[in-house]
Amino acid sequence: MTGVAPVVRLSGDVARQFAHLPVEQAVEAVATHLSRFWEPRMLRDLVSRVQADEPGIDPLVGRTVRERLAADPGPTDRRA
Amino acid sequence: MILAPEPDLGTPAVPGDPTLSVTVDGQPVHVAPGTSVLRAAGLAGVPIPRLCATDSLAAFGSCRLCLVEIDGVKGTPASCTTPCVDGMSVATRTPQVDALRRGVMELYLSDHPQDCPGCARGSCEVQRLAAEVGVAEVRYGLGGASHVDDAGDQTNPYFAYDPAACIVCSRCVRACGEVQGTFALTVAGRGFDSRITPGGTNFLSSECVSCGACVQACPTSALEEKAVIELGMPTRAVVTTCAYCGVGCSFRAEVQGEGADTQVVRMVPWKEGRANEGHSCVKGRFAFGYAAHPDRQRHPMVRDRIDEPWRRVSWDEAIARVAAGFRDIQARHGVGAIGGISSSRCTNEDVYVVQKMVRAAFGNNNIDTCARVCHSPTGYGLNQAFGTSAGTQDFESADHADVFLVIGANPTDAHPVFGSRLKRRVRAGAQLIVADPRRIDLVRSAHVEAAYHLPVRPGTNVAFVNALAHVVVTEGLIDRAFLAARCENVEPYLQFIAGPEHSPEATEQITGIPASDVRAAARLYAAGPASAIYYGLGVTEHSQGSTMVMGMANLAMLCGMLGRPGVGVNPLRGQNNVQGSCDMGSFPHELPGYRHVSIPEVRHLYEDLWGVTLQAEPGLRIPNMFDSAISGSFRGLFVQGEDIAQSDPNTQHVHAALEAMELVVVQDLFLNETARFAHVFLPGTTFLEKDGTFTNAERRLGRVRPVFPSVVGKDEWQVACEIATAMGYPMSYAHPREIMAEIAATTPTFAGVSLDRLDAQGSMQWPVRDDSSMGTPIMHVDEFVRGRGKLTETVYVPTTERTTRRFPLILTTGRILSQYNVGAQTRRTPNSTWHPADVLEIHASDAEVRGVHSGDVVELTSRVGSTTLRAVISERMPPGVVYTTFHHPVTGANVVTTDNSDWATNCPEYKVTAVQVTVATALEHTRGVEARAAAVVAP
Amino acid sequence: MTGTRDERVREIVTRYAAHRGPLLPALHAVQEDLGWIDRDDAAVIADVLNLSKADVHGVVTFYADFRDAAATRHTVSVCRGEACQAVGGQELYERSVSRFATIDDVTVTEVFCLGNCALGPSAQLDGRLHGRLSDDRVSALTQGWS
Ligand code: SF4
Ligand code: SF4
Ligand code: FES
Ligand code: FES
Repeated sequence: MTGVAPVVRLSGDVARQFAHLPVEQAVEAVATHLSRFWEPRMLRDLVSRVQADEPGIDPLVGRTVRERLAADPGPTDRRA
Repeated sequence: MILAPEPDLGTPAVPGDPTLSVTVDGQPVHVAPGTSVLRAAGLAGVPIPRLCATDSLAAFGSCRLCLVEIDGVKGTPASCTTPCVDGMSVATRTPQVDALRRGVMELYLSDHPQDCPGCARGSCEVQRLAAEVGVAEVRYGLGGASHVDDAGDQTNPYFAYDPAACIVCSRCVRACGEVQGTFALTVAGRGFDSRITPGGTNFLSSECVSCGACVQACPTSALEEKAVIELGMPTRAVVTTCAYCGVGCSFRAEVQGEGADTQVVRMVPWKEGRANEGHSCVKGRFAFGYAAHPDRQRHPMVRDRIDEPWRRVSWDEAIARVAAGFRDIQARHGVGAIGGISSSRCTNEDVYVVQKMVRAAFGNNNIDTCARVCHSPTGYGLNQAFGTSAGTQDFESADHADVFLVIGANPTDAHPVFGSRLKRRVRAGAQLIVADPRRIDLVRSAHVEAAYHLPVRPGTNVAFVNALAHVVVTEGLIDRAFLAARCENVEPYLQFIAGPEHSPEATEQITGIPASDVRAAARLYAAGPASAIYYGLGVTEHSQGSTMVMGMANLAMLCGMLGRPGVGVNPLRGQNNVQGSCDMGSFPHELPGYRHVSIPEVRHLYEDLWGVTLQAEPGLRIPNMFDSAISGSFRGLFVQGEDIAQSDPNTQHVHAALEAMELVVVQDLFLNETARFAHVFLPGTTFLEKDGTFTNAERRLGRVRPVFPSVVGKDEWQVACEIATAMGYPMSYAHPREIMAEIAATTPTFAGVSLDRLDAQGSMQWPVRDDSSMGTPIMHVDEFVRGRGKLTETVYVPTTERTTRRFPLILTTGRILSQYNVGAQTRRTPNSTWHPADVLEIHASDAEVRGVHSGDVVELTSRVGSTTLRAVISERMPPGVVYTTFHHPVTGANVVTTDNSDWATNCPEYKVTAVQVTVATALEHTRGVEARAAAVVAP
Repeated sequence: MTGTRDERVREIVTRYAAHRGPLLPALHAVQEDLGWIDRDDAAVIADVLNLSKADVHGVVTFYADFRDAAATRHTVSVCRGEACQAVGGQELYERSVSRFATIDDVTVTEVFCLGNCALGPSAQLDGRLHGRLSDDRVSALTQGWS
């Protein structure tokens, strides 16, 4: 409702679900979820917002994007 | 098909093997122990005259018409109440029996009008039976006594009560109790003065919910459809499937005339229909008139801009326009700049073709379905836990449950036929736990009372289900053997859930449910022996909808409540074909059969068949489409049978998105809200015109058969094929049969399905893995579809939608019996008699501090918008929570709902919106309604 | 007793809620305490006992004992059983109905067999059983009823 971009809000929603996990696992979980369910333009949008250090981005999202999604937006075969 | 009434064997079938052999008038017959002589005679082909018996009701033994003589038995027992004994020999027509029957029949005739219009029409059995029994004259004086002059009751919009024809057999009274479970009828008075009455008032003001079971049970024309009185008896019947809710009732559409002149007289629930077993609700039975409503659109229309008037065009022109427009957008903005939304109202065949059009002709995966906004978390959650996105049981399983845990569902309103089944089981002794913020009817209504009502605060479901699981685990109530043999991630989960933060005492502050009630409910559920979970949108439409679905799956696994009759985790689906539209590949990340688009083998299967290259990346979901429209990367949308402008949350945002698009193509029955933003309008067909299948909430594929030909000249699947073809990707099928054949050939769970098999062998529940399989009523019997069932640590993460000083109340939304979703169909039928407007239900204390009285107009405001409607003070509401339905566009309930959504699936959080309620002046209300009504094209 | 009629009905019926077959005793108690069973009582009674309003209505109308208005000062209960019927019970009933039609304070009801079959037609006048009743005898016995 506020000014945050939809991908920032939606990725934050995902990250909050995994915030309780040890950070490596959390990054893994968020990365898997985003690459299984997000359309590429949304991922690209998210990557560029993280790279631009936009405010409001969940730290776990930032880390996941930098570590896992910035270079390659995900593995090809994403069955369960 | 010619109109032959369904056979009525007089008393219900008794389960068991036919081990008794009996002869009736010399005809041998084998029956199961417990079968009545009346039924045995019917099975032997020697039907016995009767009035008070019908095979949907327990025998009553009041009319004394069914008398027989039995070798070795004294007197003339009533065959309906006499069970068969092995070796019994029954005579149905002896001089003594005949004489007795004639005497009884004379009494009935003396109290039945000689010129009974029903008898003349053929809808009343009395005179026909009199002839059969051989009554020539009546010694008591015909039409003499007490009922003949009574005034009738015309208050129900669909059926009339004519006491003159009533023989007081009580079939209606019993149907209302035994079948429907409403108990709205009674016999008042006694002897000759006795009358059937809906509790001493008229039908409309009574407790009656207009299900029509009494009308169907009535052997005379005392209770009769007004349509039959007006039009006369139907001449032809087509068996088809209801297009309202996910129960998926089977009906005989009884009609007059042929082809385009067909007139539907009535819908009669089909006894053979396994989802409904001859019962239905007011929508399915009576609310079909929208199909012939004058608002229905019959011609394609186009316009260049949404502020221009519509121009009627030919199909060819409309389709060419769609194809050219979409291709043009793609040329300028890329392949991914367009997409489609399929409809849960359409058949599996329609939906399959639409997703194929998007994936193969549009060349992207931007296909989503209206199930996004209702049950997408079910798909995600059950798939994670069990490996399949569907409920685990058939409806019949409920007849074996000892404990029901109903969460966030209101079956008596939203899934009425299942609600009746559930209530019947509870009356027979099953225990009931209801978890819902509202005190819904199931909590306590005539002859049914929940053991526990847990008024869970909206938004805290996960904390609640974790508390249940915590009790089960820490009190040692888990099924260790089941967990060891069949589940994975057991130890980590047990450790997680045993944490003290999950205890009922710790979560009481969050959920608002007393810890002792949670403990008691958990013990009850765990004790079973067969405990079943049923849930609805009160589970899914939350920011943690998917987590909650996994939480319920956890609970069921912990207690071993899976893989047998009477247990399971079962979504009650909103629309008729939610299950099917999901199965058919209308999620942007999944090909048909829930197979991820990234799996190369599956993609190759379709690529070879369709001759295209498919995208390996997921497409946009509906809310993503809206967001991308606003940011400019998504510009063309095909939307079928869903009114996204009204039904999707945060209306302003949706409208802005639709306005931003270059080409919006709407296919629907009516010029709905979304059509206000459309450039091309394509008329759609009703279920009465469709040919194909719907899949109900129990995975049952039911045949939908055309009752008359498409009034718009084309079927939905044809339109999608023609759009694809005009876009340069030729697609065609001669018949929906071919579409289902393609589905079966490419989807293992449907491998054994064909329209021919469904026609020949009746409905089936997927998986149907080969041609010899009759389907799978209960899933995960020996093994889960994914192998081991997966327990998931379901962490409770509160929604970001919080109450504050400015918005101190929580709004939650739902639906009521007589209306359906955004009401496009039901508002165009006399069903509006019962629900002329949406109202806001509010607890007395919340009303009092705001100076609100029942009937006042109030303003409902959230962070995103506001609307006005009338308030009703309701004992159903807990303090702090208000409730409204969303059936009427002038209310615009979604004006106030937010963008929040389920973290995993983006299913909107309809069930939690922080709001404020203030008294509005009547003038403000009128202005608001007028403004909104002006904006609404349809009524 | 205080409170609205609804509250009083609720209070009376609640006493019987835990009984087996609570409806009949509850109805008798309501009539006893409040004089009659009002049409609108059915909703409250149904709610307390978790029945439908129609269930309650059916039982109330089945038993001639239950009144839907305050009792009149006088009652005439004419037997309509088989034996009385054979010796003029119906006529007695019809005449009684018309005799008292204009008198507000008298209720004429039908009953089925007063156990006085040999001496029919029978009726109870203000609760007292009388046999071999003719119209004249009724007239004599009810002198002064107004
Ligand atoms: S329509 Fe249904 S609810 Fe109404 S009286 Fe008949 S059986 Fe009962
Ligand atoms: S709306 Fe649902 S319950 Fe009612 S008749 Fe149709 S399928 Fe059955
Ligand atoms: S059918 Fe057997 S008594 Fe009516
Ligand atoms: S019949 Fe009248 S007293 Fe028995």
